[in-house]
Parts: sequence; C-alpha cells; structure tokens
Amino acid sequence: MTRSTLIVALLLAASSAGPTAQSSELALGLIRADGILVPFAVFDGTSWLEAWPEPGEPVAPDHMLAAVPSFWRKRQQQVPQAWHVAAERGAMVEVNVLSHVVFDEHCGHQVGLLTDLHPRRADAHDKRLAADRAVPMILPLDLSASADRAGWQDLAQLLEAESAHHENTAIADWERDSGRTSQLEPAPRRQPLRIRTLYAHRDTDSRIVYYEVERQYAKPISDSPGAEPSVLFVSGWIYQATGSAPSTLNTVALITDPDFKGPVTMKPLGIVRAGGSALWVVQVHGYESEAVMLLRIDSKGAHRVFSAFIGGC
Amino acid sequence: MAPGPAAQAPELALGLVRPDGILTPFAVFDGKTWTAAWPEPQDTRTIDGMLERVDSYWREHQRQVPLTWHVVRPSQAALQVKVLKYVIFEEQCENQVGLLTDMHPRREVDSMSFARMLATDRPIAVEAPGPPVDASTGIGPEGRATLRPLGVLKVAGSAFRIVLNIGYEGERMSVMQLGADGEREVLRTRIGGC
Repeated sequence: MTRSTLIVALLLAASSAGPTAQSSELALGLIRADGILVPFAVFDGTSWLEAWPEPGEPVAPDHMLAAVPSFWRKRQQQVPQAWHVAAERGAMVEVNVLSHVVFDEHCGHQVGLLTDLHPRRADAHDKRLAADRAVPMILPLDLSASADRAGWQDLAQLLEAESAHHENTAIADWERDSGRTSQLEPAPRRQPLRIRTLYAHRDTDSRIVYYEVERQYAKPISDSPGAEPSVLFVSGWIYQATGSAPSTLNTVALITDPDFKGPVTMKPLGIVRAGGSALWVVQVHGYESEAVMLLRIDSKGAHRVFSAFIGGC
Repeated sequence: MAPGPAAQAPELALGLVRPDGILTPFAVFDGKTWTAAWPEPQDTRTIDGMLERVDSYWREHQRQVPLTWHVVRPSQAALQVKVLKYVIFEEQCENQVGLLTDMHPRREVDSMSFARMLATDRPIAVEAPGPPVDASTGIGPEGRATLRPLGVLKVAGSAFRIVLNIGYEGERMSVMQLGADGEREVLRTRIGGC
C-alpha cells in the first residue's frame, strides 16, 4: 500500500474532529525499542500541531542535527529533554535525551532523539507512546491472544457476528469490482473466524473495543493462475455507553491476499486526555507504510483528530 | 597506512564508544598492518541509500561490520555490547556515522572526549594505559593538546598503545607501535573537529 493510499484509507475510516477546551501544552512522541524517540504532535491548548518533520530521502545534514525544523525550533524553544514512556498498569518510565541522531526509517531517513532508555533492543516495530509531561497514559487491555476475555465475551461474540455479516458484503464487493465470480469454498466448509487483534478499554461511562478479525480460505477468490488462497480481513470499533446497546463502528471488510497488501491494521498504543477529550493513540500499518493517529471514539464513530506519517517505501 | 609486524595474526578492529552508546570503528589490524576502518566525519554528509552503505573497511571487503564489540573498562572485565542500528550523529562540529549499541547509556559527566572508551571486536587483553599526558606546545590555546592513552594491547608479537589526541580544534586516534627504541605512530585517523 502506498503512502497516499494509506492516507485515503485513514480518511475514509475516520472523520476529523478536534478538541475545543483549553489545557496546557502537551507533546507526544513514539519511542522505539532501540531508544530513539521521534516527537509527532503537540497540543497547544487548542489544537494538535505537527511536532516534527516527516522522514525524507535523501537527507543531507549540512548543519547541526539539532536544527531539525520542529515545532520547538519554529518557536525558538528547546526540544523537551525529558519524556515519560507509557508502561504496563499505568506506570511511566522517564527517559532523557542524550543527542540527536539520523536513522533509517523504512526506506527514508529521520532525525530522532537518542534517549537513555534501558535496555535497548533492536526491534524496529516495537514503538511505545511517550509524552513530555507525566500525564496519565492508559494502555488498553490487549486481549488479542488471551483465552480469558471475561467481561468482554459479549462484545467478542458481537464482533464475530458482525464480521460474518460483513464477509458476504466483502465478497459481493469483490465480485462487483472485478466482474468475476468468487471461487471461495462454500460457507459451511470455511475455517472459523480468528480474532487477531482485540483491544478493550472500560471508561467511567462506556466500553470501547478495537478489533481485527480474519478468516483463512482454502482457495483463492479468483481463478487467476498462481493465485494464493485468499483471506478475509475485518476491522472496526465497538462502542457501548453504559446502559445502552453496543454499536459497531467504522467497520472495514475486504478480501485480501496472504501478504495483507490491502488492509490497514492498527495497534493502540495508549489513551491520553487533552482538551477535555480521551484520545486513542494508534500506530497504523499499511503494507509498506506506517502512520500514527489520534482518534476520539464515541457513539458515532472513530474521529480522526490528528495523524502523522511515520515512514514508508 | 603504515607497515606493521610481519607475522600473520587474527584480524582485530578497534572502535571508540561514547557514553550514549554510539560506537565508531576507527582501525583494523588485518594480521599485518593497521588500516583506517571508517570514514572521517564530514561537514556535510549526503546520504545515498541506507546508512549501512557507509564506506568502511568491511564494505570495501564485502563483509559485514562486526555486530558484537567488547568495551574496555578500567579494572573490570570487558563489557560485551551488540550493534542495534546505524545512526548519524554530531561529532563536534561535523557529522559522523556510528553504530548504536545496547550499552547502558549514560549522560556525560565529563567532557565527551574524556568519557569515551575503547572497544574491540573480539576479546583481547588490554593493559591499563597510564594517565593522560599534556602535549601542549606552549604557543597559546591553539597549541593545547592532551594525549589520552586508552590501552595497550599485543597482536602479532608487537605491543601497541592506543591514544586519543585531544587538540584545540580537533581530535584524532593514533595507534603507536612500542619498541625497544621508543614508539612510532603506525596509524592516525581524525575523529572530529571544528
């Protein structure tokens, strides 16, 4: 998936909205397992603003790396030197900036802040949320691989029913777009649905779930020579206000290949409060690109408040 | 490059580690001679492709840069560190490519020059180097220089002293071969300046 396709998909998946209440400035960043942190957004009390340039190619550092054109440089302020990283059970770890570095980010280059995070690991996909203030950062429950979904089983059953319903739509969409007939095996002979991603959060007045479901087919949907067996991918949100029935929101369903070239997947990194809103910070993956988004979830859907491109090829 | 000992010995690479955990290789002993391992820092560094394509000794020989290093620590066993990623960092007034390692990072307590440590790409005995030496020429601040020995090691039957030369506007690494008639510099490589 190209960067532009990813952005279009993100725009389709969520509408824009912004917080209105005033609060003090807050910067958010993503810290990699190797200790490199890249700021991506600043809430100035009213709006979310870009904190950092996107990765580019090629980079020719013809000046000091600290001169990166950031939110802070434009205001002649120092980039925050202490950051707080979201950890398990609401805990936070403070890290300090040691130096500016340039590193490979996907197929481009990016300037980052090398921190004293310890231990450092080489996993480039593992990113965590960081803030320049010690604000509460809630980690949604990750029930993706959990056998015990006590308290969430009703919503898990709902999303499976929703996914089965959208499967028919996805197959019909494919047949309409391609002008061909599906070669998938009949429904009774299909493998069961599998929940691959399930994040849940219970707030004072609501329950919220983000999910991704897949079904591996035995056959490819098309009769093209060499085609691999297809996969159903369904993603979406469930919102339930206390005392109300749950609603499924922003559901996306499509038939894709085993390499997942089509779907946009998400990983919630944390929930922060700013401007009177609770915002889900999600890492968004396309086939060859990555973004980070701030989403406000309510009974009408997942509303995009801010997004930033992280990198791609 | 200068001629070294004649006997063949296993290859040995030397690097310099900053307190933030960034390691820069600077010399390779190929069994006979000492060779610069890494490009010198530059004012402007244009990146062509991935950072791994830095013009190193290993790239020239179509081999992988060592991914495990042993950091020499005074009065302690060497600390093994692993390379995580290539990065560009500011080396004084210039830019340099380095290897980000998993060494426990720390803030600088002294000046950067005095906080760096020697690293080798394989375990090797490194003797205590002795105290820094004032090598100023006495002609004003521009003439100030400190020689900071980082260690003495033996390869191919010869002893070599590894020295960080901290000058007024630049730093360089020297590999000094020790002999009965004194010592001579067999490799010099600039590591930064303004």
